[in-house]
Amino acid sequence: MTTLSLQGLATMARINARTGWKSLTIWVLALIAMMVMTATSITSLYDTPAKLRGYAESVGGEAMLMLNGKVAGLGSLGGVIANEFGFILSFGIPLMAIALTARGTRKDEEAGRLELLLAARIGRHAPILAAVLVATGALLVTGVGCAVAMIAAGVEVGGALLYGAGIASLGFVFVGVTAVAAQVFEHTRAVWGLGLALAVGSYLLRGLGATGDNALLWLSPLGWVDEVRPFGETRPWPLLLALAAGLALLGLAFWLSTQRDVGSALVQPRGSQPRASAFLRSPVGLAWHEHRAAVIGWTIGAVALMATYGSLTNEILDAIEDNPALGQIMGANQDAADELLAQVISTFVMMLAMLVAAFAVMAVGSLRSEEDTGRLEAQLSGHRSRWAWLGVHVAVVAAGMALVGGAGALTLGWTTSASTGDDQWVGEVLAGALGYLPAAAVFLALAVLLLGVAPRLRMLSWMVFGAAAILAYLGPGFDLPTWLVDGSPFQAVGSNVVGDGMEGVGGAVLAVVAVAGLVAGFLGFRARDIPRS
Amino acid sequence: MTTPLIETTGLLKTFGATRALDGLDLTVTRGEVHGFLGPNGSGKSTTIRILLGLMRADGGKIALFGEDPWRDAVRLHERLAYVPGDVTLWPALTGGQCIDVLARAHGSIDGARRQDLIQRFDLDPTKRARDYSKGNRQKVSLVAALAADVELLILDEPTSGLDPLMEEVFQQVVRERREAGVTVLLSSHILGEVEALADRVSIIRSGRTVTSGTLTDLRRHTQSTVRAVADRTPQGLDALRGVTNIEVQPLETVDAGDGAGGSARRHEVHASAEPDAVGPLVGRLHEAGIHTLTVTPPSLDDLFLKAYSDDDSGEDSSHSAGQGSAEGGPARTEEALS
Repeated sequence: MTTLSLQGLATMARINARTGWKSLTIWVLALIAMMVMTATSITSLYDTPAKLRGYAESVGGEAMLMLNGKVAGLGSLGGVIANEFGFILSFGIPLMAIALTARGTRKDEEAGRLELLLAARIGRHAPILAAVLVATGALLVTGVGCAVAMIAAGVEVGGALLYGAGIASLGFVFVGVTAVAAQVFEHTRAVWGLGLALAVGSYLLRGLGATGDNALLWLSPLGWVDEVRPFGETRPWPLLLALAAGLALLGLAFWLSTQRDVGSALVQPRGSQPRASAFLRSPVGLAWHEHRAAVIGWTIGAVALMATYGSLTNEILDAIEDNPALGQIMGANQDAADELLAQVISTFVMMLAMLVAAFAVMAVGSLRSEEDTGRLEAQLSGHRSRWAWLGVHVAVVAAGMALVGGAGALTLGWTTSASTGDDQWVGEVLAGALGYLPAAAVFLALAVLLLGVAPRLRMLSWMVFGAAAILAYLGPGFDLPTWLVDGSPFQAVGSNVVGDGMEGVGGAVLAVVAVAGLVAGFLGFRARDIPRS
Repeated sequence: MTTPLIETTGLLKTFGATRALDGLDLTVTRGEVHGFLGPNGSGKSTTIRILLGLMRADGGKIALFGEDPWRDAVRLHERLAYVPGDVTLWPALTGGQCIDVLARAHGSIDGARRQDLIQRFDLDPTKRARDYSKGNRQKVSLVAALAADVELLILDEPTSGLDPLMEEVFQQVVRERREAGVTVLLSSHILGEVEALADRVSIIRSGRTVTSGTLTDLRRHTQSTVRAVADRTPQGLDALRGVTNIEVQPLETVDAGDGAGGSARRHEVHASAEPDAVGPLVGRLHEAGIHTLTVTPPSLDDLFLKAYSDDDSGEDSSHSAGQGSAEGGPARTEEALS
């Protein structure tokens, strides 16, 4: 191994911070802000020791262990905050580490900036180390910030500081992971891919380890951080595991960086098929090629989310039956409990409908990049009409919506049945999901309309979606006027679609709006300039 | 005379407040390679997009194969292939797959020619598009279009990013396609390329046709550069019509001290001559005893510069450039078209 060459480290660190301070600041502030919000809402909801103890009883269970791991000290304020912050910690911190480290390593190298810098008076290892130092510094600040937020909320100082150290240590492991990945892969997206896969893997391993109470826990950096037990029987040594792993990965990354040429990667992109298959050459095949990754990703997301919700249904049922106030109203009536559960499951299906609608907005929005990249021009200069091109893409997106929604609904139905032991839920959930079809279709139509008529206003469909989702999600709880809440397509189809079925009028209006939007979008797309900047 | 493959007159197109095309005329006849020259942002790509029916003109007449490209876009596209200036391709597909996908859009493709072109352009079809350099991405579009069996090729700055060797291959292939009867509209700002390939040229600026015609026609309005070394001082050059920028300088090195041979000193002569004045000028040089002589015809760069310097002052072209251009005003050469 050649010796470490660190000339210009300070310069590199300055360049890194100067060019990346925006995203760096946003990551740090966003994560600390989430901790502040979590801590304040917990302190106001659980303002007595008795209520805190009640928290531990109400959230116990396998599902929670799978989601947030085994959080020690659930009876204390710190434990409750840690449990509520668990999901953000599990993904937010690794994502931040990946983003900040990849930016200063492979992204610079892919863009050719690294070559430029190394040709100047910058040592070979300086850029990597600078990226690592800046990212680690940002993670430390995040950890300290979160600890301070917890202390301000009334958590005991030692535990909060240890928790903050856990945040920074977890991030440090993923800084190391990303630094290694940056040596291995030639494209930034592959670095992200590996980082994300390891983040999800760590999350699942920790969940399995916590539910099974076994050694799998120790294979996951999230498990190490949990086992510090900042709010239980404290023991700092698992943090050393994280530090050691991070340092070892960084050492590996430094060594790997000397084993390759600048601008190259250890894994060379491999060649592939020199000819396109008949399917790929067909319009449908090409459209599928372009939407495939998104369809698969969103389907996995929908299935994971619905499986989580479905597996919680039995606990919800228990909570309904145990609630003395509700119990008095319904007695021990199982049907009445099921009705209440149907209401809750309607909300789950509504979330699924939002996912499907968001997928549609995203997928149709991505067609705009076909235009920006010149691919649309290239295709339309052949003997393919505009309507044929748009029609095929809308059909493929619609099929993708069916796949995301269908897989999500089936998963929710199955897991609900498995959780409650009641088979009828599969059919009811599927029927309920169909009831949301007009709501999702409206967003597909809106996106197509904007693409055809006002492509520059693409973000408008996200704004409408955001407003509709917030109204539908928060409206009923905030006692907003009915007309306003029902104005959201997600509520216009009914507020309890699984229990009561779809609102006929609302559904019909949405269907008409959707068809009108699609027609106008297609007409507009035929009449406008391509490309329109 | 057959109907032109492309004919536009007075084409207008505005984007918001900017006027992209301001009365553009372009005529491309069957079987020719037509150079479409203009600086960046002069409206070349907009014209091509209107020709392809991707954009609609705000005014003026346009005919592609004698028909309306906006209305009949899809049917007309069966007869042409298009290479955009910069296309990002599909990053996850290999070059070969991109060629097939594009070829499918162009209609039929000649399999043997596809293979041949991939070899001649030295393209690795198994590499993914995201791993290609700009030049290689351009080769992909070129192979797909040049291998297609079409009547008309529309190439929008097709060689950006190609190295000189590949540029040579490109020119060779375009000549072959032309031999096979294909008409080519070649938009470019690389003058050498157009000079090497084009039968006729249209030069545009700010959305308007500045001049168009065959290269010979266009050169008629410019001057050749004449350089010579003569044995004696040439006489009467100033009296010749159409000869300007005359410089005559004695060469000192030849004056090798053999007594009083002052009149035998060699002279270097440099002058600009209009096409009709080249003969008389060479005659006078001959009388003075030509030692060496080069006559350089005007390059397209000169045409280009001339077209722009004439048009520089906007509508008012009364001021003639200091080089003493004979007629003054833009060299409109429509009357010289065959």
